Amino acid sequence: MVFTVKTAPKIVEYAAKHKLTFDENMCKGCDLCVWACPKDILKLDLERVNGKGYNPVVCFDIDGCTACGICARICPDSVIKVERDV
Amino acid sequence: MSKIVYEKSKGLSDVQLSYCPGCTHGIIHKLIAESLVELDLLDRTIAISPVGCSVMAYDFFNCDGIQASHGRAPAVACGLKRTNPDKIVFTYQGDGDLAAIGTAEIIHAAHRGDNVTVIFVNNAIYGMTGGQMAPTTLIDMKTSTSPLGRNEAMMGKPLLVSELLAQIPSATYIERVASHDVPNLNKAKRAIKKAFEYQAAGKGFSMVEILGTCPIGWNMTPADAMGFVKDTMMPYFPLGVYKDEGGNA
Repeated sequence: MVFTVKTAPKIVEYAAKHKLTFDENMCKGCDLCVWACPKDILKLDLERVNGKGYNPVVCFDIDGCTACGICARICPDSVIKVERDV
Repeated sequence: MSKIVYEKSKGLSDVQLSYCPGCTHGIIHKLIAESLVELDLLDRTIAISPVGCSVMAYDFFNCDGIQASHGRAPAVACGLKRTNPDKIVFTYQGDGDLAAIGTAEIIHAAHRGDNVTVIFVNNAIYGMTGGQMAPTTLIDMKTSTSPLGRNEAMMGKPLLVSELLAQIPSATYIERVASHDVPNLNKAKRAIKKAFEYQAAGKGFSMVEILGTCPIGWNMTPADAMGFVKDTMMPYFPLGVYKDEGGNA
């Protein structure tokens, strides 16, 4: 029996040289990616909430992204997909 | 032309994790799922979930799962492995489950040398029930059942499970790792992969202890909790390989 919840994904993409894809409805606004990002280009959007009622993470400067993947590895809820331009 | 640096592992289902924001259970789930996918073991793996925060872990992995009674996950895993020796069986347990109520089961699973893998998440607190003191709670750490901090004279010193199990002659592989930053996550993933490789090769009992966080139970932000693991937990719970006899077995 499944007691847990599934919600429809809400995919948000940020693309410049490299590409970040967030599944916003999975985000719990825990701030770990913001804390871990070495380039400080992520923040929580305090103006709105996602399907779970948390402030989702947004990227405000995708040009600064180096596609290191640290945010995606530290995220407990597998919100972030990172693609590197090669 | 772009290359995927990181995406959600195929070993995880699309169910939303039931953990609090910033809890390292989710990070450790990802490491297990990635290891099983990379070793191509996922389709014959059975996860045994414990009682605790991770009680619904069987929903989160893309493999079969069983939920065991409190502390009895190693006993269920041993029975399952003995009747299905071709399956990969792992238990996923917290410190209240493994180090408190399930002490007898984990010690005797290691003592029999059963060919199972135990993933032990040590966050020094009973998370699900509301942040009570666990055997692994650090000295002077405030919890809901030790509001003045853990008192060494009355409550003893925290239990060192990896050191304890490394004394057991039949155990094959015991390692303690941490999950508070990406370099340590890479080491943790290598340890988990090694434990599953040993099990697939029939080398015997393996346990990986992972230091995790409980931001809600510790009354910290997730980022501060990561710092607490590094600054306060790691000096008392030293990381490292405590036993590795996989090469000789």
